[in-house]
Amino acid sequence: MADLNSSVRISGFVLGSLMFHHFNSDFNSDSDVEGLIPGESKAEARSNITDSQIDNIQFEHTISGSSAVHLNHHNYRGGEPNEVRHLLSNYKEENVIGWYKQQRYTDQQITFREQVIHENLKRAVSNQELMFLLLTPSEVTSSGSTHKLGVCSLQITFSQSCSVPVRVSNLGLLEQQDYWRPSASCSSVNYNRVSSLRTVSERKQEQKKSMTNFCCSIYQFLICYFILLLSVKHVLLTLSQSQETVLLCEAIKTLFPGAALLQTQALTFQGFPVPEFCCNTDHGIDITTTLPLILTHTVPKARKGRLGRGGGTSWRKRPLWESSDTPKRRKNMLEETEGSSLSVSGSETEDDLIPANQNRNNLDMSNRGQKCTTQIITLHKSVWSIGKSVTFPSQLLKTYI
Amino acid sequence: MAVSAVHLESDAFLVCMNHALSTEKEEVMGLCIGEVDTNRIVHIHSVIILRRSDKRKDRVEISPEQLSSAATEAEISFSYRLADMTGRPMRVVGWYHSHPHITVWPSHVDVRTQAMYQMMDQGFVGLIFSCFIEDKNTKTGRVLYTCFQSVQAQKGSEYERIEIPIHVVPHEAIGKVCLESAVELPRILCQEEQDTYRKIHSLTHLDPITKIHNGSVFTKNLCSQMSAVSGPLLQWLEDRLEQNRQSVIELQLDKERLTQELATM
Repeated sequence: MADLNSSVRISGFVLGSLMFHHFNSDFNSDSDVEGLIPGESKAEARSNITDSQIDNIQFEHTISGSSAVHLNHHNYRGGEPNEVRHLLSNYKEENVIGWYKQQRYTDQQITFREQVIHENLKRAVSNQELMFLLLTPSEVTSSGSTHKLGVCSLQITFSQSCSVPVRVSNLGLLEQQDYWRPSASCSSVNYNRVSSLRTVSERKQEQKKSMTNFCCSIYQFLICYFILLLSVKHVLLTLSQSQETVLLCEAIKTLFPGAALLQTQALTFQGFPVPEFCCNTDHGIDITTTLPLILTHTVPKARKGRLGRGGGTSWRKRPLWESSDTPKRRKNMLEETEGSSLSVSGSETEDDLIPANQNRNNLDMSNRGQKCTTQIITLHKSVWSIGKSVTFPSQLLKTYI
Repeated sequence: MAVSAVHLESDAFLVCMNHALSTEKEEVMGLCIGEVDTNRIVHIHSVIILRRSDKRKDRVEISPEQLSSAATEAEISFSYRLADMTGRPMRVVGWYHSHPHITVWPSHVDVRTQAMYQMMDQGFVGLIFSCFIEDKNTKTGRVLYTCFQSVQAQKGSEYERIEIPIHVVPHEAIGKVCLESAVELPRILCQEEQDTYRKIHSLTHLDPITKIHNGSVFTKNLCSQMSAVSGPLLQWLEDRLEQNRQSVIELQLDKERLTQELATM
């Protein structure tokens, strides 16, 4: 069984504006007011199956008017098709769902003229469900203290009209709910626990917030930690390099006690070492325990004897005038002490190693003369290889290159 | 002595109707602003919507103290604006309220309330707008409005109503003051809802479930107001603006045409 429920719905503002237009019309000529109603039309089918009824289908057809377009009566005569098309030129055809008319002191029934207009409009907008809203203002009392406005909606089909209920949209249709004043009485213990639901929820929110803050703190701590770690590594690296530099310094002092050229970090323009830049600091490092390989690899028997006699031996460069047969002799000496680990590349001034007690006074810079840069660098590299863990300080390289 | 007639401007009438048609569940109320001339004719130029402290479907009233403060506030805010336009001082000259699903005639409570107001001002008038009346046989709706005052009954101490003729005066456009009154409706409805919710929320004996429910009701009611009142009001204003623009274009075309005709003559 199917029920068809059709209704027309307009807002109170639309109805009020229709009445406003009615009052503002030309009172002298007692002319009626007409216009178009844009809006939308929608149909809904609801199937309601209950124990008492089966297949109860309700069709809800709602025509909603969103506004009212007042027509200037001087330009609008009788709804001729051309006239209608001109009136509809400013509106989309599918938006026009009906038209209205306010006529005074008449009953709520449609006239022949209105039927013609209605048919013309239906063809113009191609809407067979076009709605006609009839408003009939009148006086209730003879004194004029009370007035009435009748609102009627008609659907005209085949020269017959049927009334459709008109509902004014308002707040009351939306079923506004009331607030609860008394608390729900429930003696259940578990329900009363639910009374702390909000507290639990708030506590959870607070916990979540504090955890978030805690995580942020941990993240910041980790960032600081890693920065600190990098700083520490950098410091350790620097320290190790400085430590290596210290070890290198001690190694050079041990190996070449009299060779100030090897211990200085600055040379004059002529290539002579600047003693002021020699490191004279006692680093307090025990070579025998820290760099034992230097003593085992570089100290031959003769050197060992010298070591035994004088403690730390100092090595010095042999002056040029003493080194006439030094290359061969030096080579033999080197081979004795270091085997093939040393690379001897030249026979110039700086490569001649003689004990300091033989010619200690030859530290005089004027006796140094020129020296071979390549040989010195090579010798330094040898020293580094003996030290094993040291790196070639860039400063010394810069000095000698 | 009773007034002879009431002339209600059509834009003020529009505001009253919009307010009365805003809800069919409760009565609404407002004040009328205007003047009384020497012929004892009350001219109503504008209205203001009042905020209700208690919303009921069959009753609305405010105490004389509330009326006095509302009247003072109305006169301060409206009289200057209306006086600038009319050149005459304005004041509160009456009140209106709605009768949703109820007959247009004032109840004995309404008559007594009107009598109380008339004690402060003899020219005070009352308007009633009856809405949402439907004849189920003919499926037609009706909207009625009436104007009245109160007089002492000849027998007894009760009051009875007297009919006052009311005429709606045409007003081509909606005046600025009336337009401002019309758009106050959503704000007042929102304030009413907020006041109700605050009173409820301040109760200490409510359990959390009830508070959560009331919070949801508050949100739902606000959304309903926006859907049923704010939205349609906004749409009506936009449509009216568009129609006015079209009217201006048509009038300009008419003017050009007439000017050309004049030139050819």
